[in-house]
Amino acid sequence: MMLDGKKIIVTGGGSGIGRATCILAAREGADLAVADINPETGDETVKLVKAEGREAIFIEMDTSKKEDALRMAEETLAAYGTIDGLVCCAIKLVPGRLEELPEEDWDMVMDVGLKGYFLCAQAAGQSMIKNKSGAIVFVSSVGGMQTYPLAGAYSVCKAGAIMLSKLFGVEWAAHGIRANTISPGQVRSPMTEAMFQDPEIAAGRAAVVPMGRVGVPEEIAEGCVFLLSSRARYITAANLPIDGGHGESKMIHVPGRNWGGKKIAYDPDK
Amino acid sequence: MARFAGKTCIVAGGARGIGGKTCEFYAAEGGRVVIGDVREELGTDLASRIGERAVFQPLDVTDPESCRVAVERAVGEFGSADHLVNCAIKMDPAPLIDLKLESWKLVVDIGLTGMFLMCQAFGRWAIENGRAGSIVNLSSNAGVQPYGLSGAYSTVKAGIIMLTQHIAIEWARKRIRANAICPGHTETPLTAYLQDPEVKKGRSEVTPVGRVAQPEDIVHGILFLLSDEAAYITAARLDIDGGLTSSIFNHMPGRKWD
Repeated sequence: MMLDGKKIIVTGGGSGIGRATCILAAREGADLAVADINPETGDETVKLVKAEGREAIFIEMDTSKKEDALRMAEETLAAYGTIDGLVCCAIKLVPGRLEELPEEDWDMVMDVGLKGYFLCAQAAGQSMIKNKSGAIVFVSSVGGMQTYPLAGAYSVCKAGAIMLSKLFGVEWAAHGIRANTISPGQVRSPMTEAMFQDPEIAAGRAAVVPMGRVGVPEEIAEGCVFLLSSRARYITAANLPIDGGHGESKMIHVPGRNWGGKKIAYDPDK
Repeated sequence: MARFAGKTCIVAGGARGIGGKTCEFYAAEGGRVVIGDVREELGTDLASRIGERAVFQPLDVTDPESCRVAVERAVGEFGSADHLVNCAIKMDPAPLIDLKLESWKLVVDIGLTGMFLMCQAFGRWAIENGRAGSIVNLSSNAGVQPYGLSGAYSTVKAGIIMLTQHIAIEWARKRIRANAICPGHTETPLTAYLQDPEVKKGRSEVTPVGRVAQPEDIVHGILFLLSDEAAYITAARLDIDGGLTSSIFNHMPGRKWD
């Protein structure tokens, strides 16, 4: 098993990619600390991990609060005695147009999605530095590599998360700690479910992905588990997109390929 | 459960180095490999060491017919061609000002044109037969940042990233994924200069994790991207470099900020 006996914290572990990561990590032999702001969904993930035959504790927290991040590390150490891995998934999506985006919406996204990642990595990192070993995975987004118009601070926050993980990766390499980012494309999860309920949006969003479909949380979790594992022992400061090709698909949407009289209509299915 | 049970992989440049290790590990996880290489002796030795799940196929990636025959061999021998790993490359370093046209052409022909031809032969069979597939192409840190004095190498490795993404976009709906891996300094026969302890020490020190890679470090990434664990990953670039690409500021003197 890839994570045999490892003790892993997952923030945002109560749902979506975070929950899928908890379950897959448990299947690979890990014990989990499920951190989430929502005790109901967090407890449900704990049950799902235990159903896989592994240990799990729930940590109720707001990742943007330093005292919560410190308590997250303390409670994990109290339960398991060590911290081998951290996956940061906790995020808020607060869309809005830049010309009218309220300061508190900007702060909310940046506090949870960027400061929160920093605080949690800093807190969990103390034990990893002592152990001279550890793996950190930040879940960012294709929105961290491409502008995501109308998504408020989201894509700026996600770009920051990619850089922050590289910084942890390079600065803590000497401590034997690896840090990497996963950048999911469109994924159907509780955060995006309301949007995908609209069949027109669901079809449209599948169509713009080169692979022709949106992803599921389990496909992102696979990447998280790989990067946590010793299979990725030489990988640090890397950013792995898991997006069905979406991030590289811009030129697909450019109409009119009529080059020097050689007209080729772009049809992804042809 | 064996990740590659019932699957067949063609490894171009599979006789030694990262390609050779890929063949060994792929077969160890239940898969069957076609070791494609111009190095007959090394390739045949490796095939006999791996056993019945491996065959050697003489392969010159610069020749489209040779690429087609390699795919045919996989299908004939094992029934399908599910995975392709492209490792074949030459290094012929020189300062650009002195670089000979033959040297430029040699590296471009094998590293970039050859990779295109091998992917095309694989893609033609897969698409004609309605088969899903996964391709992993070996690029390099040198494809992301210029590797001074490496001749055509950096340009070829950068081209490989775009070729891979281009294939990924055009063949996504055909259920063929394509991804690139960018290793950092890795100890292989290609990088025999790492046998010099001083060079190895220097290259280890400039790498944030403090060591150069062994082929196994890269192979784990290759197998992950080939496998169904990476089902939603295509057109991606995975750096396996111990943080090297992101660490240029480590070389900047004078950070007495405290």
